[in-house]
Amino acid sequence: MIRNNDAISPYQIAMIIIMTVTSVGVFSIAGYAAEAAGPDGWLVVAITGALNVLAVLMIVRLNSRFPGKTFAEYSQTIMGTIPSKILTFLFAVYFLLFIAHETRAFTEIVKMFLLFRTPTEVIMLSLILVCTYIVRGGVECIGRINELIFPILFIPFFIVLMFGFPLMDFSNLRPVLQTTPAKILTAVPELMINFGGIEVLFFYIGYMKDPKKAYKPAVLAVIFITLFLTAITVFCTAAFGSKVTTQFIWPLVNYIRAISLPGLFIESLDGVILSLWMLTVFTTIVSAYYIVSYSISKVVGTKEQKQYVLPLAIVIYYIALQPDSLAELYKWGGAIFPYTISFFLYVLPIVLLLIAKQRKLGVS
Amino acid sequence: MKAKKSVRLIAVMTLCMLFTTGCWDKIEIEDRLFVLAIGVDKVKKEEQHVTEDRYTLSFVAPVVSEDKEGPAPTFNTYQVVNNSVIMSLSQLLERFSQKQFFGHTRAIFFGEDIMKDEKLFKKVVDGISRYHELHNSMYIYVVPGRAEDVFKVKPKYDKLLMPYITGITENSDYTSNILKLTLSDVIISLTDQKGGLVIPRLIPEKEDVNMSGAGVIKDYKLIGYLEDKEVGAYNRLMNKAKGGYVSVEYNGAAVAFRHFTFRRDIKLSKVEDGKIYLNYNMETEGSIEEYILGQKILDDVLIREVEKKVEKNIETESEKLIKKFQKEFGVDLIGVGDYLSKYQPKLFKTIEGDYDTYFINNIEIKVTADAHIRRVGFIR
Repeated sequence: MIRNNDAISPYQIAMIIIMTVTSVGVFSIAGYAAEAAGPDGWLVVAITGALNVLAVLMIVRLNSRFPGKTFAEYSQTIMGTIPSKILTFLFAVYFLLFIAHETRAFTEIVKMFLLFRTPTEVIMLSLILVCTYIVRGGVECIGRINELIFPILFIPFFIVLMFGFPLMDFSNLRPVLQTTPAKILTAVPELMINFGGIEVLFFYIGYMKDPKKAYKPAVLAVIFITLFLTAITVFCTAAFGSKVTTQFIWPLVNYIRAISLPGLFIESLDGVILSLWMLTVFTTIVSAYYIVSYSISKVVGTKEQKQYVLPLAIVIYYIALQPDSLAELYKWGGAIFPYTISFFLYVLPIVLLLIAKQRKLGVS
Repeated sequence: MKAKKSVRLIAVMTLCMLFTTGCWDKIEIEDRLFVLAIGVDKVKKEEQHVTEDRYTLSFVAPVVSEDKEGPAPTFNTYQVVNNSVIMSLSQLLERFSQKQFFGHTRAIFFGEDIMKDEKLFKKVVDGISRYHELHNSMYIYVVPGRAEDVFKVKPKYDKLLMPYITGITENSDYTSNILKLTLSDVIISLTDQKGGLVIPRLIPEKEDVNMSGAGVIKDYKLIGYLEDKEVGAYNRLMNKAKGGYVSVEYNGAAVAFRHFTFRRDIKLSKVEDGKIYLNYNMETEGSIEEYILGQKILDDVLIREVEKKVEKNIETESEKLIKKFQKEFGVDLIGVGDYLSKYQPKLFKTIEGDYDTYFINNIEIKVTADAHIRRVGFIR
C-alpha cells in the first residue's frame, strides 16, 4: 500500500544509500583495515566496495521486476505469505538491532568527549525522538532529509580531512601488495559491517516511479562510499602508519584530533568531529527506522506504519542499553552483523532472483 | 477552538522546557583552570605519602584574575603526588576551586628518572594518549634532572612560561638544531621502532630555558643524549630539517651558509657478503650570509669551492652521528629499518628476526650531500 505522495526520485535513492551506509563505521574502518592487511588495508576496503556494487546491482534488478512494490509485498508473490512474513520480520529485527547498535555507539562517544554528566538516557532519547518525528513523516520526508543533510555532512567532512595533509607521509602505505591475496580476501567479510545499510534498497526502490532508473544512482552511490572509505583508510594509514592505526579504536577521530590549525584560530576540532558523527548516525537511524516500522505494519497487516514508530522508540532504547560496555557492544556487533549483512545483501537477492526467474514472476 | 489551541501550545512549550533547561555539563569559563603544561617526575622517597605513590606531577596555569598590578605573577605552578598520571590530574580538584581543563595543554615534560624506568614511562604515555582532553599535537620534552625544575623558571624574555617554550620549538622551521616532537610522533615512533625514540632535551636555567640536544630512548629507556650539533645532523638524516645554518671554514674565515629547504633520499646501493650498503643522498639550496669584507665571493669557481666545503661538513657530521647510533647506542633511529621495510620488503624479511644486531654490524651507510649556493646577499 503506497500512498500517492510517497515517491522517491533517483537522486534521493543515491542520497539514502550514501547517508545510510556512512555511519559509525566511518570512524573505525581504518583500524580494521590496517589490522587485516597492514599497509594494504585500503585495498581490502576497495575490494569490499566493489563486491557491494555487484550486490546492489542484484537488488535493483530484483526490485525492477516488481515496479511499485517493496520487499514486503513482492516477496509474497515469490515465496508465499508465511515465509515472506518471516523474512520481513527478520528484516525488522535486524534493523532494530542495527539502530540500537548505532545509538549506543554514538552515546558512548558523546559521553566520552563532551557530556560526561548528562545521563545516557537523555542523550539516547533525544536522538531517538528526533528520528521518530521524521519517520512519522513518511518516505518522502526521509528522502528529503537525506538529500538535505548530504552536503551539510560531506562538505565540512572533506574540508576537515584536507587540513590533515601536513600529517601525512604517503611512504607509510608501502610496501604495496606484500600481503598475500588469501589474507586480503579473508579480511573482506570483516569489513562488510562497515557497508551495512545498503539493504534498505529492498524497500526504498519500491517507492520509485520507475525502478529501472535506480541502477545508475545506486551504483554511483556505492562507488562514492567506497571511494570515501578508501580515502579515509589511506589518510589514516598515511598519517599514523599501519601499526599505530590498529591501536586506535577510532583512527579517524585521532586523525582529526592530531590536526593543529595554523594560527590557532580554532585550536581543536573536537566539536567538528562530534557534529559530523551526530549527522552520520542520525541519517542512518532515520532510514533504518522507517523500514522497521514499515515491516512491522506489513507483518501485522495494517495500512499505516505511523502508529508503530513511537512504541518502537522504547524498544530501541531498551536494546541499546543492554550491552554493558563498549567492548561488549563491539563483541555483539561483530557476532551478529557480518552474518546478517552477508545474508541480506548477497544470499537473499540471489535466491529471490533465481526463484522469480524460474517461475517467471514480475516483469522481466 | 482558539482557547484549545493556546492550551495545546502552552503544553508543548512546557514540555520543551523539560528538555532544554537541564544542562548537566555546563561549566562557566571562570570555573576552568587552564593547565598549560604538565611535568612528570618519579616521586622522591621523602615526598611519598603512601608507598604506592609513583609520580610527582607539576602543572602551570595562567592567572586570569583582572586585579593584577605591578609585578604580580602571571602564572601559577602546582605540584601533586599520586600513583598514576590521571589520578594526579584529578587530584587538582581537591586543591582548587576551579575545574581543571586540559584542552589547551601545550607541552608535557618528562623527568630523566621517569625515562629510565620502562614501566613508569609506558604508563605515562598510555595515560596521556588515552585521555580525551589532552591533544595529540602537544609537544614532548625530556628534562635532565627533574621536570619540576622547568616550572621554577621565571622567564626573562616572556611573560608566560609556556608560549615561551613552545615558541622556541616552533622555530624549528628556521633552524635545524631544534627538534620538534609532538605526542602523536611519540606514539608513532614508540610503536614503529619498538620502543625507540629521539626526544628533545630542555635544560631549565634560572631565568630562561636552553633547548639543546636530545635524549635517545631504546626499549622505552633513556640511554643517552645527542649534543646540540648532532640534533642538526639527526634532523637531516631523518628528513625533518627545513631551514638551518651550516658554518664552514674557508679562506681562513668562517662562512655561514643558510638553507631554507633540505631533502634526503635513501637508496640501496648494493647487498654484498651479507652486508647492506645504503646511500643517503641529501640535497639542499641556500645562500651565503657572511664572508670577508672587500673580498669577492660572487664567482662561480669560489662558490663551487664553498659548496664543496658545505657538502663535506654535512657528510662528516651525518656519518659521525650514524656511527654513534650504530656503535654507541646500538639502536636504529635513523630511518634504515623504516626504509628497508617499506622499499625493500623482501630483503627486510630476511634480516627482520635479529634486526638490532644486524643494524650494528652489517649496515654500511654512505652520505652524499649536494649543496647549491644560489645567492650571496647584497655584497658582491
